[in-house]
Amino acid sequence: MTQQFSSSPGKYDTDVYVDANIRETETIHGYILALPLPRKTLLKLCLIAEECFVNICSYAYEGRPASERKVRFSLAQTDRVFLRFEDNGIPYDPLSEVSGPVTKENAEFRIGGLGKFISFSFADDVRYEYREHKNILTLVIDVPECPDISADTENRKGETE
Amino acid sequence: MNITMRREGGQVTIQLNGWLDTASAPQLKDAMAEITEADRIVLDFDQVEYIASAGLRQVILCFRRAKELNADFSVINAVPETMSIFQMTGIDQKITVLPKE
Repeated sequence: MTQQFSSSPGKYDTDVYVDANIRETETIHGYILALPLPRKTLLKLCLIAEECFVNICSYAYEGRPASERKVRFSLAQTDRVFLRFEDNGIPYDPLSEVSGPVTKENAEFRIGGLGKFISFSFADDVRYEYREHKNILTLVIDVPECPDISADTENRKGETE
Repeated sequence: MNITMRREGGQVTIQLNGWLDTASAPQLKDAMAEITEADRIVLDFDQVEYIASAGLRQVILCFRRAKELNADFSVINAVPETMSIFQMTGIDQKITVLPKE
């Protein structure tokens, strides 16, 4: 039987604005590490989020004062985990140039693009849109080993009622 | 991230403890800068469960620095979580990365 995954979380459990500062990566990691998922999955999610967030911090707001550099971070978990980043910096579609893995031939010289390659490789679905002067990047990661928490809670409620 | 270094003869072992992420990667750069001569440089990843691209970049730069010093270079004791990152990026094809036994 093919498992059906939801295509949208409906509502994000975490929806915060953080400074577009690399130091805030720890804040984002904190939200992710609070999810009730296996450690291995959490580390993967942290890695995906860090690479995306650092990329925004590094390039989206060149020349803009610190007070204007904000990133909206949203997180939801159903039978998938949804990581969403929104910024109003320079329009940039990260899907436009995704490079492949390092090979024996280029490994020594290939330093750029690793972050994007890692995050997009680990994500099961990546969507980008530019809407209302905002870059919106959503990454979806299947967690089939961990059923929808909300559904599980509903089931348990049914069992006890 | 805690980093300790020890020298045994011509070998310098850099022991990493913690996450090698964007914030901590410069610490490895600083540690590497302290090495001016060695026959062999070893990064011990036994206590590292997480490596981001900034950490990978630093490992590559360590490898290059070791070559400048004519020193052998290797990463040892990579746990499955970090080993998979070295493998998926192909870095293990260029740099000696040994998994934790």
